[in-house]
Amino acid sequence: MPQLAEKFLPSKLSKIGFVVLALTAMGFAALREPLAAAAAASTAGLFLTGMHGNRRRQSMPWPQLRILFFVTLNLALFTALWRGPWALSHWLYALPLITFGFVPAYLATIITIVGAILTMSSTQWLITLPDRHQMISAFVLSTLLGAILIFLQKYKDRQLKPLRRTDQLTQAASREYLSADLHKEIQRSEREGTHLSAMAIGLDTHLGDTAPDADISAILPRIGRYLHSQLRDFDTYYRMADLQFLAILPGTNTAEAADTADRIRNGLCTLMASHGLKLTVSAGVAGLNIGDDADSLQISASNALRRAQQQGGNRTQTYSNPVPSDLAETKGATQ
Amino acid sequence: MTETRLRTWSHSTAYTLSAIFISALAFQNLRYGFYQLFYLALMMATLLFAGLVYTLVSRRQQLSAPGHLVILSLLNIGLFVSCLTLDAPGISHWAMPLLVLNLTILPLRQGLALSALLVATVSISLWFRQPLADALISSSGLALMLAVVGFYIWGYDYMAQSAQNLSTTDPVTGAHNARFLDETLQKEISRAIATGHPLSVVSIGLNHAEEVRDLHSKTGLQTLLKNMTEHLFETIRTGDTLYTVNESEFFLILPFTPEEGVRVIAERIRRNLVEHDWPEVGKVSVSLGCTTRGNGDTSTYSLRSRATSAMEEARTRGANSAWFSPGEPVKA
Repeated sequence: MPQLAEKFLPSKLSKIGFVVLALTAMGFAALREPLAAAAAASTAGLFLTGMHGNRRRQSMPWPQLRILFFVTLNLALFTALWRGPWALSHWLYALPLITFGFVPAYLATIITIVGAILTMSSTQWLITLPDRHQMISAFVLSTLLGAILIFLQKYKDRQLKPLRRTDQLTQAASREYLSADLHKEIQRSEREGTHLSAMAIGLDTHLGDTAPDADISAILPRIGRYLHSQLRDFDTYYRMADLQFLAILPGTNTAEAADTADRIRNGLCTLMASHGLKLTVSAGVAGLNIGDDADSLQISASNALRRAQQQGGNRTQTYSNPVPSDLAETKGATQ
Repeated sequence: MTETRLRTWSHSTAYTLSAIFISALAFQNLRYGFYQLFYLALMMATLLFAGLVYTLVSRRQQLSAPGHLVILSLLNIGLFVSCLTLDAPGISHWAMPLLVLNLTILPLRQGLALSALLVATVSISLWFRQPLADALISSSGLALMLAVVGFYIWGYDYMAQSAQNLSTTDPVTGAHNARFLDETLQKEISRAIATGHPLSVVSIGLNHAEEVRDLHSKTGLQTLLKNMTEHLFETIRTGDTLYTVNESEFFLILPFTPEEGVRVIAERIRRNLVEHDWPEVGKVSVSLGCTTRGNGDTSTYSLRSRATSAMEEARTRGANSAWFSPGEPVKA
């Protein structure tokens, strides 16, 4: 699974890293190296707060703590350049890569360039040190090689994004594939002469007292699993909006699709009730008509869902075209 | 950009950058009169240049090229030795870019092992020479660098692996791959059972693929397969899907197609492929095996194996033929 890498590392490696770095910081403190101790402690703190974009550590104290630790680390390392100990310049090498890990890319680029210039200019004053030339060229080379690494990673990430066909949370197919898949299905149903229905399912969250957002997002994976178990192998479902799903049901006419929708709606209501949520579910069903394309079928299903929710939710609404097309906007969905 | 090309690009850039910097360093050492360091840097620059040449020479097998390990081991040994024998200041700084270079170019495990060895050696020499606090700071800096770069490379490796696992198309031909075939075929079978529509599959095998490879090299065979794929894409109808399996075989899923239909289509495909004059290769011969889903076929395995055995039957009956292998008829 593609999301495993991002989940596994912060939990396992960062704990080990935190412990090791905290011990190192204590060692430095015992040896009376305050700057080194500060650098090690702030790096340990960075490991603890987790990477930039980490899902779990998004709430109040963590982003602020992350910034605090990052600034402390930078201050400690750059102060060490002119106050000593010179050996702390070994810690500078990892700084560009750490920066790219913990702050957004554009900011990291600026910080790294400024940092490199600062390092180069400040070492010009350290004429007494024999190895400053070695350090400076090694530092620039490491930074450039690090830039290759970062480029490789960003490139792979971009390459990987369109391949992720499923939504992480609900295992629904991702939104980008909806139009293409629907188009294919419409072509097929025209070739085979079979029915095709689209079904939009939405949670009625707009009605009065709603459950807290955290509870709703906690139940989303279960909803995904339920849909997966109830739909047939060749039905596909997509996460349209935050709390809306769209399922494509090939070979199903509108009446059958409405039955399926009712069954799923009842099942989902039971599922929510068993988790202590007082939420109802509405569904909108639209059958494929002659002349429909992927977009219009999607819109019909969403309109039917909206109509169902406007009428008070907890119901299934089928979409039917009124004959004069100019009335479509005003009476979009009628029973 | 394919993985091989991406890695060729990144390897050659890394080698070039390092060679430039090390050459500059060699020149500087010459100016200041550190002759030992000058010779060391000169040797390293030569090795890096050799690495660059090697990368460009083996650009087609970049992901499995063994020479990088030799070159980088020599570079690392050079640094170990100079660390232990020379009393030059600041040599520990050069462990940093070398460490990044190791991990950028070598496969994950080799790179990590070599870099860990490098960090250990340099740290030990530091502990012997420098006061405790300095040695601790320097060696922890080395270890931190190793951890951070290792983390980046690990993440990259992981993403490269999942990109491979998630892709649904074959990199050579552009048709779908075998893994996606199983996924789709299972859906189609379930659909055929639900709707009662017939479902047919065709397995297309290129005959004498080994001989084509020997005669026109691996790239020649790949070009032929690519051309055949393009040709097949023009022949099949909307809703049919094409897959590449086992390197020189194709697989077609034809939904809503009964036995008569698949016989006609197989014959049309056979004639199309055989009569076409392929660039470089000329005429080819193919064998086709077709089958239609029967009553007992609920798994992808039974359909696929029946299509394959039908193809083999066609092959034994003489090249350039199609063979239909019926399943148990579907009861209405």
